[in-house]
Amino acid sequence: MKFEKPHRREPSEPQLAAMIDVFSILIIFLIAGTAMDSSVLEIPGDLFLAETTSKSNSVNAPQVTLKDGLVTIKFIDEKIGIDEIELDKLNSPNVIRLGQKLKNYLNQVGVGNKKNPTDKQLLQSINLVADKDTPYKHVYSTIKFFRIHGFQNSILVGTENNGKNN
Amino acid sequence: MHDFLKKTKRRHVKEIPLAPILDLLTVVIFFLILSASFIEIRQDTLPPSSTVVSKSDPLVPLVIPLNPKLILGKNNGEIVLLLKWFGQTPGQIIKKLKLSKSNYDANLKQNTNEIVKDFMKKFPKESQIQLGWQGNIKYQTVLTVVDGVLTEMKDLVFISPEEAETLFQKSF
Repeated sequence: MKFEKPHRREPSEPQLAAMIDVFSILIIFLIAGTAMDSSVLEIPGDLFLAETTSKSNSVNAPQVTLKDGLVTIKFIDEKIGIDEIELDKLNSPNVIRLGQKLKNYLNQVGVGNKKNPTDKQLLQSINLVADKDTPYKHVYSTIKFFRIHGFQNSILVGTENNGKNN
Repeated sequence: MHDFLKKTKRRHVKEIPLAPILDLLTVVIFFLILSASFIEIRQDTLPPSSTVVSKSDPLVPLVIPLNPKLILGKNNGEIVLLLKWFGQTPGQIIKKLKLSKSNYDANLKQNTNEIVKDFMKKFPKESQIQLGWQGNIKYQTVLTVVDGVLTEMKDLVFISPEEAETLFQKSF
């Protein structure tokens, strides 16, 4: 008797080329998304942003971070205690040095050069990234300090409140 | 037969090893997802302060500016919103709020919005308002009040906590 050998099915191979295409596109999207975020704001891991219902997206202005009484001015690579920038202490040597650095920065980035007015306005603004528990007196002192030194707009940064409390 | 008539031996083309490429891409995706920030950033803008130059005309009666100020503070454990204005018919609106923790921000925003709307009904031409908080009020509350005002008025000015405290104490 002749037994017929059962026909073995060939195991199907996954379409690797197609998968690589999909993965590459995913990577491009992720890189684009990440780059856009980092170019605007850098939020420290231990800082909790306040929530806002504002619909305006963040803009690319210089960042000032305020947390635990310390003001971090990223664009000139400086840090200063909030008690040092209170209005009655603006004549201290450290504050004068910092003020000069801010003035130089403004001269470099826009004031007097031929950038378009919108860019100029943004560069003369600060993105204030403050922890949600920061007291108002610290927020006010910081805004006042930068306004005195030529930064006309203050942009209060928060995270989206999508109405979960409403 | 000549050599050139022989069939040339075709070189075997090596296939690109796709499996390790796929492994690499998977690892890269993990790293990118872990490093990505998924926080949606929003903002409220405080416009630059402006100076208005006015000429006084002896024939035209002097108009005293309204100069409205909205102040938030705590009085005997209660959150109090105070809207004070000057001008020819000075006045104030006081709202004492009892806010539960669960919907604190939403209620505060709504109450702020209502108090500003009441003021705007009386003085629809007014476009600027000064905002102040007691010094120890938290930034979250500051932003919530700003959200409540911004829907009605775009021109905001922050006043010092000392000035806010003085006005607040005088109003009780």
